[in-house]
Amino acid sequence: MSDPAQSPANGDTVIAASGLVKVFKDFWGRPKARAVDGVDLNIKRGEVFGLLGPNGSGKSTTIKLLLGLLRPSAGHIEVFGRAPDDVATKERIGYLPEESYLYRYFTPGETLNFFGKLFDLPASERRARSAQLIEMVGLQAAQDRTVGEFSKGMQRRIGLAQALINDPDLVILDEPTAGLDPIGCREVKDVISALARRGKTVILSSHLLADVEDVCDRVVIYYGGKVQAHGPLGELLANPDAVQLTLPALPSDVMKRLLTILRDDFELNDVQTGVPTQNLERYFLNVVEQARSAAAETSGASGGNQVAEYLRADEEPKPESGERLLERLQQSAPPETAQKSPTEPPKPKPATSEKLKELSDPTPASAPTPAPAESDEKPKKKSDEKLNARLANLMSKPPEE
Amino acid sequence: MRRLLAIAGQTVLSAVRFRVVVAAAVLLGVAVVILPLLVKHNDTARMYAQVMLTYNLIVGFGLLGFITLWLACGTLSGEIESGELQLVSTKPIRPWQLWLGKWLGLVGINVLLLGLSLAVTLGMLYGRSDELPEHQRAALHEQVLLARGHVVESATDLERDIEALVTHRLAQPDATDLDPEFVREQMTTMARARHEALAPNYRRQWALDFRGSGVGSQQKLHARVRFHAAGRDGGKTHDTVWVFGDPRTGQATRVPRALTTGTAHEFEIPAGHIGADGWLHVECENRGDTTLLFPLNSGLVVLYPAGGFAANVFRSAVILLCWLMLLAALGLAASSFLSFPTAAMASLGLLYIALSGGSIRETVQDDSVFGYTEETHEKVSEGLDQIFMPVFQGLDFVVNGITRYSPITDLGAGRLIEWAVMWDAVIRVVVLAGGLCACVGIISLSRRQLGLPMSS
Repeated sequence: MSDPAQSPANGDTVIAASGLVKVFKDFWGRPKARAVDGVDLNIKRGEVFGLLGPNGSGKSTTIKLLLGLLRPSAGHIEVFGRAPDDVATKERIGYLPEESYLYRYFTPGETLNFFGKLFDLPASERRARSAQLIEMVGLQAAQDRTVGEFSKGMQRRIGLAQALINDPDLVILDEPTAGLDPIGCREVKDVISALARRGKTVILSSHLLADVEDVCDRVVIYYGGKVQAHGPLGELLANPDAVQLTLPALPSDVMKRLLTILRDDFELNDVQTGVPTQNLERYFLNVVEQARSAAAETSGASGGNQVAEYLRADEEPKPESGERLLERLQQSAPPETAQKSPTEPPKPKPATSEKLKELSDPTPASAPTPAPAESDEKPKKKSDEKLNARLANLMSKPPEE
Repeated sequence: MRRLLAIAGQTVLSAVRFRVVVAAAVLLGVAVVILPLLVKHNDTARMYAQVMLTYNLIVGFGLLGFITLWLACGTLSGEIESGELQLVSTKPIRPWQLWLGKWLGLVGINVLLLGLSLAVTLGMLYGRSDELPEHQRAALHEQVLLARGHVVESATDLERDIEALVTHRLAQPDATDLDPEFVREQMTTMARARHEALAPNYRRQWALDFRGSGVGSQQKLHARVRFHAAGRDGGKTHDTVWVFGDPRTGQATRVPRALTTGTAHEFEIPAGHIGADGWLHVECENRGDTTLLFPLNSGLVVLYPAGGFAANVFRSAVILLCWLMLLAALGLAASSFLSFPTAAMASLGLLYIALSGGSIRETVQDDSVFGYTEETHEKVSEGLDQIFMPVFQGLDFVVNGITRYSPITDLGAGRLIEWAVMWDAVIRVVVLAGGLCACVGIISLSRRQLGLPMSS
């Protein structure tokens, strides 16, 4: 729970593991598989930490070791300065397992009430948090159904809600977006970001590299039970030998002049040009939002709402903190995109074209460094209209559960 | 406590939502209703009570015991295998809370089902009593639907007789080669026979101590008599005359009875025959032509009203519940470290051993697992006996220490189940035996790595 007295200062170590080894043995005690092999971890407060690796590389075993579900064959783990299976440690952890390990016969409310009781929360607190979490994960319409009747995505949603019922200081999410639709994925990532802003530590294990890239500060990459690479994401992904410029569409003569300048100094193969495409996630969310506003009730998961109030309690006030997640998504997109058809390309600003013409001019008076353009403001192809219509049609139907 | 109750509630809800409780309730209801329709009684109060109460409770309890073991094994090992317990154990709950919560949930289900089973059984017992003739209906209320205390003859000291017989036998000239132990066994049988046998035209006397029983001299008493014939009697009746009261006072009452062997007979003892000294003297005269054998402790039992039926039902229900609590603990203990099918098989195996308590006791009394040779009366395998006898003695100590509480027969016979017996059952069956299971289960669960792949 969020007890400031117990919370380490910003930058304090939340998880310290050294020389971690886990060897699975058979019935006779003979070694069968070395799932984790000499792993060291040091995770600080407020970090969003990614565990990456192919299947069977040791990610889930590491998580189970951190949770005390497995005992290490060698090495040492401390979580919040205590053993992982210490009850005081577990008070401060929220865990979403890879599979839905929820009771199938509970409704969402009963599920959250049950887990709230395990954290010894008073009844009024359990009720309030359950209501907020159910709203947050968008399961209001499915409150009377049991978890066993849920689709995998809905089970992930209620699974995420139970992981947050105790307002944990450390949230461990094993494949949190598996089975979720893009809206759910975006919401989960928003929740992770919100938690991180509040100084919570998040450990994220995922196969979906884009998800990890979106939210993680640091990652480790496993293979064969060993850490093959680790470090801040920006450092790992940066390519210092190349520069990427994203510009509004250029008239052909401007483009020619620009390429001529560049080819004077670089090999032909080192200069690449092309038309950037819009981020599919953002495009999809726009389509769904339009479909939703035009239609439709659903017995499945609806779009999630604001992050539960108690999870936002200590967060620094931000302009969007009290607003719907989807509205926030819309706000981050250009106003034109939110109001018009998502396929309609925004018109390039004349002023910017003028500047580019100046830039590509062989005799410029000065050459100011262009600021990178927001990806949301990139033009959209006309041919996307067809796809847009199809997706809108698809999303207006209630999901099959 | 909240965590404990959360797990208990989840266990109950699990059984309810998976319709286990409903299925068990229907099964119990059908068994309790159908059985009396299949087994006919002979219009006597005792047979009616046996069918409607004893048989029903035995069937109901058997079903409940099976359901309890099955649920206990399933709720823990099932949840471990399906991963639900993995998630629960990442929450701040200790293994003992988890284990005890599951156990409490199972106890709750048992209270519900046992209560239902008893309610239907008693409803049927009272509801269908109109089928009995009027005098048997009255007998039902006087002999069954109450709690009766009992008095038997004080334990006879056979040892002195046996010693005398052994000494006499070994002093005979032809006894020089005899094994003294073998002679002792024979003389023990002879001494018992002397106290149990009643030859034709002989009398046998009993002195029953009613001091401290709280029974007034005018209270209505019943004699329950059971005997065997020395030879095959073809089921014929044997003429006996029973004398109640001290014949020397001149106030004794003679009651002639023609009785059959092998079954218990119950008849009323006229009031006012308990002496001022608190002793009741009873005499039986064998008027037939066959020697009768009255077992030492159960040949004659005198019953007296000692309480209401409702309280007796409550006490017997508590003892039955103690057994179900132990079965729940046994199933949970097994499933704390075994998979569901293995846990179920192991629990049923242990249950079989418990039900074989009589055989274990006989083995311990014989002091041999493999028996004796007929010729030399030596142990068939001395070495193996030395290995296995401590095991059987241990089993006898555990099993027979707890299996002596079986309230169903007593309830059907209208016998008082004392509060002391009930509390004794609570301590031995629940606290000691159940506590042992709990220790095994909780330690196993604490040591188990719930995150292991299931094939590990």
